[in-house]
Amino acid sequence: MTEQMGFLFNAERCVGCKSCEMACKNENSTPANVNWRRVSSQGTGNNLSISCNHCESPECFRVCPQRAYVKRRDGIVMININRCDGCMTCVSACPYKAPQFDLEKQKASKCTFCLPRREAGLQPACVSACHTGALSVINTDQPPKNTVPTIEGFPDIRLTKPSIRFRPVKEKLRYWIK
Amino acid sequence: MDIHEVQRLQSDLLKIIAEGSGVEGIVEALAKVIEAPVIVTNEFHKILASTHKDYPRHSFIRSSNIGSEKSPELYQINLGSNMNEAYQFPSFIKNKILGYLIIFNDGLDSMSIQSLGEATSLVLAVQLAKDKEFSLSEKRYIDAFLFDLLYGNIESGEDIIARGELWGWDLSRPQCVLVFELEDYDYYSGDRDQLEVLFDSVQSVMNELGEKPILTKKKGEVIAILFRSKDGQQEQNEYTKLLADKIESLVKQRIPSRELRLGIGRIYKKPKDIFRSYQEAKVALELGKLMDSRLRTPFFTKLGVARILYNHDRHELAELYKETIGELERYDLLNNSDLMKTLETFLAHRCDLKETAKVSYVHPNTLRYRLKKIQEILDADLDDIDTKLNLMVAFKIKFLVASEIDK
Repeated sequence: MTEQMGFLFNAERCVGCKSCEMACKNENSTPANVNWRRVSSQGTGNNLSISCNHCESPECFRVCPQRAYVKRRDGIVMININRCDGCMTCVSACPYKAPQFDLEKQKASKCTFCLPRREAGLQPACVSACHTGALSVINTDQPPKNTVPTIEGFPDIRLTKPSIRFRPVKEKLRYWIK
Repeated sequence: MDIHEVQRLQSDLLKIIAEGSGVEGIVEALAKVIEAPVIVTNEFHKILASTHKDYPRHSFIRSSNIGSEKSPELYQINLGSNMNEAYQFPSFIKNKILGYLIIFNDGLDSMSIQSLGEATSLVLAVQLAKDKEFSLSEKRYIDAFLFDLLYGNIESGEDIIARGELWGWDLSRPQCVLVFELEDYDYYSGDRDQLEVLFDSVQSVMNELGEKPILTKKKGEVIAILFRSKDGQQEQNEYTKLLADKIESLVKQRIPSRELRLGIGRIYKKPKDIFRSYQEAKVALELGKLMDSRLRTPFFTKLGVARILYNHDRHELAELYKETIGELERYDLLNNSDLMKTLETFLAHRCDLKETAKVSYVHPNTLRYRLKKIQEILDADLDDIDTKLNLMVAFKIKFLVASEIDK
């Protein structure tokens, strides 16, 4: 009856095109300063695409004084913006910077795992937009084989237990660069 | 025992199942026929029914195969200091083991036991599958309710209390959440038996002390919602600590290879706030792990400054650390000394010179010399309370953000 939806990220496939970031913005009509998904270069030739990881122990959920957060039975962490009073406690508590503060509305908002799309039987916008297949949706209760809980550059996972798995990153072989 | 007798026994046992006497009925009937003690365990070796006085119900046994070619089902059955030889037969459906039938070797010929064991384990599989299906469907409802409770998905307190009453829980009483985990237990590849033993240990200690908490498992965690039973906060904390210590010693005895980790959330009066206690317990557990047992009492309320530090910017913390005791660390590296350890022990023992010297196995004068050296390196006065506080914080940072500091 309960499960945990999450993302699977393959850093080796990510080319840093930011299609996922744009698709998220387009789908959810977020304002200019709000990026529910962000792609960053790690300086090692790899990129990292991070959004809300719908953690097992969400800090945003724990610290919110207004009880604006809920964790659904499918594991998705949602925010009820009607309850949010814009105190920004969640914004500073989340190690992944998932809750973003909307300056216009003066409230926090975050990734909803594209709930309307999922209800229509579609993948989240970021996953559909990823043309290299670096992002995919998994049930983290039964993660695929050959995946690891974290990779270099990803924030500390110990406290919140994020619902994301990674393909292990192999060292790049560049024969033509001495 | 010929084939007709075995068939007759099998149909008698099937009749027992149909009458609803369950696993106990099967065990008693079989023990009567073969005149030897019989045990049935679940797939995790927990005894479900027994006619052997040394192997009571609900205890966990260990078995190791000592069989030969002639009797491959012969096992050594251990429970504490009890050690006996017995025949063990797995009960399975579609290669999935549901439990074990154990017949104690009491002078019967192995051929008869083998045919009897095989016939009975098949009947037993039917009963165990039925029991499992029943408990799974009930568990599904309970798990869904507990998930909603622990993640604050039920808005109304009255609704929570009414639903709790369905399972006999009085959720109108103040309660706190305790979370137990085994050190380095990986849910995906870990040994599920160990989690089952942990769950049973928590349950048996709580029952022994007359507590009736709500217990559930979630991935690698065992979660207990404990109702407040003492009036004063101090008294309740001491009682919870006593419970935790008892569980810890029992788990140490049952699973010696792993260390138990525990976190205790705050007590909340309203059932709709249990989710906060659960999240706090998990924070206390994780921080307890990071502080490497420096938190003797894993209460969220007693985390102190660590509660602020863990949420602070990691780079800034690493900077503060380097500025406070970075010099000493560098000195240790260059001179192959261990002044960091000396300072840590000194602070951990309330800056008591005598006590620190005793636990470090050094003469107090040696320690005095080392502390003087530390003061010189850090250019700080160890008698100053502000310096002590800064150093204490720096050591806490060390355990919290070890990876950033290394960089």
